[in-house]
Amino acid sequence: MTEGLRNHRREFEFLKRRVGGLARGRFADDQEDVAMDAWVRLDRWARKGNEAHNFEAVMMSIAERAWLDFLDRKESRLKRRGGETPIDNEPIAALVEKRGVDPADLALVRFAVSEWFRANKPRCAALAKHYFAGRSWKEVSNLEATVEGPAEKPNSIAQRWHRCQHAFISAARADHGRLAQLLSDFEGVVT
Amino acid sequence: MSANRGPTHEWVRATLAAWAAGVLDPDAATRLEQHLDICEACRAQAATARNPEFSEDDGGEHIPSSLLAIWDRRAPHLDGLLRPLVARHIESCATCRAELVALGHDPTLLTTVTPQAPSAKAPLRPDRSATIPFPRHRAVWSPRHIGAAAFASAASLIVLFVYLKFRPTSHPPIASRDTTSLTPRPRPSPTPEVPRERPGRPAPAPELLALGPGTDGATNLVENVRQGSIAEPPAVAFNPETSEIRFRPPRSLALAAGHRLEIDILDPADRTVRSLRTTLSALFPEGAPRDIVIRRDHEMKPGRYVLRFRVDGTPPDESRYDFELR
Repeated sequence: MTEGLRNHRREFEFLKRRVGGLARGRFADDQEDVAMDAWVRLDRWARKGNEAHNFEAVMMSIAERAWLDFLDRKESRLKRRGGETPIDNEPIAALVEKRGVDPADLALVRFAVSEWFRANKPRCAALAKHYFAGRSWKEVSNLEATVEGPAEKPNSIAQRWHRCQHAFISAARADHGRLAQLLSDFEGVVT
Repeated sequence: MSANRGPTHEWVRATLAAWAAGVLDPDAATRLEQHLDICEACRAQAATARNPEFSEDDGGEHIPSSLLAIWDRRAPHLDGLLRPLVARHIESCATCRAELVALGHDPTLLTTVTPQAPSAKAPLRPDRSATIPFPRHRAVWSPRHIGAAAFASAASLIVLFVYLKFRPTSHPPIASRDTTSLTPRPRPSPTPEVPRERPGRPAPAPELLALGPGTDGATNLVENVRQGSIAEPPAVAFNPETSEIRFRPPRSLALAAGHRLEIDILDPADRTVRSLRTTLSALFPEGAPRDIVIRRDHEMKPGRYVLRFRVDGTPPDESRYDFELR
């Protein structure tokens, strides 16, 4: 529908209906939050200039992704509380794909990493962008070669990234809030 | 996990979050990536974790969509390093501000609400059992809770039945009471339209009443704090004493493209009965929506109407909201 009018309210109503359909009566209080989450994703998708022949199919995919992420979050929070509590006699674990990552925590840490670099180390922010886009340092090196003349070697970029990581982790460890908590969770499973 | 034997699948899957977030120790990251080279299942999981389609974090570029969705409940509880980072981003990112406004949230919430001061020596790893990451989330119900709720519901039903059977009949039912110019709605509603009547005391007629779009019988009183977002329609209020229709334009309009704005009220036959040509800057002076008041006259009889907003952007943006005059 990117070729036509965008009507935020209509989009939201569509997403809400779709989330309601996926929920099948469960988590009634959370359905609107999930629909809002889905609308933000849709808005970002549309702002990037993406086009789709079937806009409703895109909205459905986004609603489904937001719903799965919501179930993932629920599952990981239940696990943290130490319970395998089934909801409506159907374990959440059976409903979600096994990704091993809490999408909300991951999103928050990624945002914090990017924003901290933007505020404190702008060169690291560019590297973080490449890293989060899933590019290898070799690809980054080639990309820089085409843009800025002689390329920096992949190993050198990797080392620069490690220094950036170290700076961020040091700052986050000195924190006493949620970010430090998330970081310690992440470190807890690594060591 | 031994360095000689290489990492296990469990270790790799537990480590994916830190790796995808870019905070994994370089040595551990090397071990993980070596494992990904040889393990297709873990590689698939890593790809999903690192760059999922329609993900909520947008590669760290913007505030996660899940946080924006519950901004009003979550933002006041942001603490530590995260709080200034989010506040800084909100100040500099027009996209996130616009999305918050569209959702009906206040982008300045973070700067106006001060979080609870942490204790002098807050532990680095706080006791998780004592933290409530999402304040509104409810506790999980146990069978005991469900039993108690069922018992309470049954008791309420009995009390209601007794009340309905033996209630005093000196006051007529709500639907037949004279509510100045407001007539009874055509369809019954699950939501009570007026405050519930207490036995022996007449309930006051509401002065301002608004109906939401497309929600038969739904009632939005004007003090609705999220009015005008995509989740909540603009509240259209009719004051029978002054014969004025008052409404606040939806805040989602503030991010519509274009400059000129047409506001029309259409009758059930799609004829324009009121029209206003204005600009977005006049409608949102200093970013806050301005109330619009329309005097009702004999042309506007009771019935359903459509409030239409049209912005002359490219493409033009049009929103329609149903409301009802009684």
